[in-house]
Amino acid sequence: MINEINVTAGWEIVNSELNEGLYLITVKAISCQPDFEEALHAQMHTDKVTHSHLNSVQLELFEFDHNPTTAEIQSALDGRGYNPVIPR
Amino acid sequence: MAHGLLVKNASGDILIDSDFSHYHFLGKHTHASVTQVPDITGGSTANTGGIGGNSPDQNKGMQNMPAKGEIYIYSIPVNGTNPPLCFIKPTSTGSSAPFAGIVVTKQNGSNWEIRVFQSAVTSDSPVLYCFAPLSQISNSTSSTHGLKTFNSSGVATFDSRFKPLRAPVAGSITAPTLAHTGSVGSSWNVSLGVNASNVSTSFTNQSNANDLIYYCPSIAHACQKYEYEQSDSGFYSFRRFSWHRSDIWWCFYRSSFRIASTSSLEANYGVYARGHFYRHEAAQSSVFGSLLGFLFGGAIFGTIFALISASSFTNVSVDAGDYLPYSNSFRNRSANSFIISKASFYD
Repeated sequence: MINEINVTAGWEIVNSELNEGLYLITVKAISCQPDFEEALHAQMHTDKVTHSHLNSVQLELFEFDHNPTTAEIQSALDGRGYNPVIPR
Repeated sequence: MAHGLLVKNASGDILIDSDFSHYHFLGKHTHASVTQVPDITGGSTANTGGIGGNSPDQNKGMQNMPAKGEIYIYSIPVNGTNPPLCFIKPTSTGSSAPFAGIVVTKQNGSNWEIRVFQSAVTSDSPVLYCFAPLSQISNSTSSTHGLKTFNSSGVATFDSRFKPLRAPVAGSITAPTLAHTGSVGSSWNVSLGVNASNVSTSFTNQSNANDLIYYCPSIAHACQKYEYEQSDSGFYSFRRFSWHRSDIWWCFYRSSFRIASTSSLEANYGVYARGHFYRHEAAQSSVFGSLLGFLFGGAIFGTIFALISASSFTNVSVDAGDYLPYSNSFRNRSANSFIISKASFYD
């Protein structure tokens, strides 16, 4: 059985605080290398072919003067250069 | 007030009140020692030597972290229950001057210990101009003229011969929200330096900025962190590998102040304490060992795979709650009272 890291790219709010009218939103942003196609991946293991599954997790803090929508947080993440896909 | 003396200026501000224990000049003090909060660091690395793939080993120390400010410690001889009121004569003024503020006031035997935090290390050091109620001042004088008041209990409350505190300016100032705004890092590179805009408060114009001294204790603080982790697994050079690294960098900031001009006081943060913790673990297995296991039975093969599976490292993380009072926020930033006086009144 192949048992390697199985992580899904994306982001989630891990902390939200309203402090003196300022919304402090801490976001956990996960990026992954794209999955291999299942049959190909199994064959790579059978053949001991070099391959990897790289993942990264980064915390980002954003300030808003209002309770942000999902789209606004996504836009803020994009502004920081967040890319859910790590190129191989 | 049934009896006593009350003196007001044209604006109605009270200048002298015989019922009030006025503060008088105690003396000018230089620091006894200087210190910094030690870096709080730690990390563990396990089995990462020669690991395949791209297991990261960089920046496991304090690289890229902002410099800390320094803390000047003063010992003020003023025995009594009332702490001295200490004004900072800064090392410099203007837009390039470091920020400074009192962070600790505590009684230590017959002295009071005052700690002044300055946002940057300088060759000169701030000087304190200290004041205390008359009952805690042991000065004597041969002068026989002036004005001296007493309260209803007969205790002296004001004596013009002992340089009463004169405060041409008073007000309040607010610290910035976060010390660092914007991205706090990228990959293994941290960016937690203070970049908040200075908060400025105007006051009545004075003649010489370099003559001004200020009393403004630091009550605001902020704490921010940067967390980053990576993991990887797969095959590399006929070895199955897996590694996981998790880091947390953080800074604790204290508010501090500077005389920006003859008519403005500015507030911002300085790095008071900082730290970095990490965990980095890895494992790998030779394909030939696995094959050997396969030849002798799947149990061994399975065991080796289990040992190096990614799930072995899912707990390789650093919990900020173990190190920080709070994170990515600020406290006590508004309505920080200040008083401004002049060194020339007392030199």
